Amino acid sequence: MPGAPIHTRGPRGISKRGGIQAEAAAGFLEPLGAERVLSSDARRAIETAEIIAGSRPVEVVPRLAGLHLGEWEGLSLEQMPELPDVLSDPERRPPSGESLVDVLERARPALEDALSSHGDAIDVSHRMTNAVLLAEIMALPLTAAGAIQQDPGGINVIERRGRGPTVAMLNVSPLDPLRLESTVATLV
Amino acid sequence: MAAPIERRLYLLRHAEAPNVTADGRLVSSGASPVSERGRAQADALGARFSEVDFGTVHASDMPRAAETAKRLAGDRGVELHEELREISLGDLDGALAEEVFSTAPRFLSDPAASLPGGESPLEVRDRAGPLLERVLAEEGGRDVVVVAHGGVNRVLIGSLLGLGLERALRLRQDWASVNVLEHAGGRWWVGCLNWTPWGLEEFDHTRRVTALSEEHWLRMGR
Repeated sequence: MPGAPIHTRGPRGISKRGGIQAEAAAGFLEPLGAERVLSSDARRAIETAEIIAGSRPVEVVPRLAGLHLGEWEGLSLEQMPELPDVLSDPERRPPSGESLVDVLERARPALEDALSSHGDAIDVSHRMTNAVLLAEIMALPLTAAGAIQQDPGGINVIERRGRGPTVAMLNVSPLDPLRLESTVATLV
Repeated sequence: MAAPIERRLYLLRHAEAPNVTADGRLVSSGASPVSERGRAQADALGARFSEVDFGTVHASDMPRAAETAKRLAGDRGVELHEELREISLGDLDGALAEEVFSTAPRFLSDPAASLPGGESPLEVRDRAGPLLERVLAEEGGRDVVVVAHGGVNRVLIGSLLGLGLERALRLRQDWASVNVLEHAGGRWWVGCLNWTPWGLEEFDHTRRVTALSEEHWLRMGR
């Protein structure tokens, strides 16, 4: 049986479980009192951001979108055997899609904008986009981004201080912080 | 593609034990005890870890780590290891923070730099890394809980991730924080870094309390 189709930019919204994860993220982030909530333009990110934002406006930032699979969009993993090559070669693009370097270059200005906010800001984005940005901040090679887990509703905290940003928390899942129910995403 | 987690390594920093005296002296050796607030933090960790399937808590034998481990362990065992001690400040243990960093300005930015009579991050890696490997082997396939120190944890996380040590030294490690590294498909994955049971509720508090030492590390060490 072929696997489920992978959409990094598809129209699907969040599931009921996703809504519970977003509520938990909202509760976790509440003490920050962040002024800005930014979201990728994907429906599932906007829905998540709206739950977190409450009465605050959500700023939609297309630069925070997920890795664009181009012509592979909507295929199952079995139908894109070259996907691991894209994740192990930072310059390699799927046909009409994005490489890891492309993702970094277009998403980095959005992160810099959020970090230069007057107060705290919350970005709602996607697994590989986050992982690439986190790898960059930690000075890891982009090909190591895949080792950084990003669970649905997981929270990273990036602090701007001293000489550039530092990672203060990475992939905290408020509903399962000790990761007893989690799995490892080994590809996308 | 999702794979089941085969085993988890929980790497913790000890609970609150202020390591800077009121007059600005850095204390890294045995003396600094877990504070009352720190005891509550360790108990909160114990409640969370009661759900985790592990055998023994492995901890540094410095009092602040050993006490955290004992409170976390409940009725499970605790094994203490001198290899997990915090990086040694050598002759400058108990000196003013300014003095520490003016003596060796590259301490904690150059992984090979140490203080007189003290250790470098590379030396910490070479003693704590093999101990961790041994503990992982001894515990078979079970999840493993290790309680150590901010400096040691940064070095160990850096080694497991292949992160340059000078970068790893910048990772934030709060008191009583938990890092989760997970093994699946023959390699380690980063599950989570620097989670604490009170999440962001006390995040700023922690930053204020550690501000003196952290800011010294940041300003002087980098």
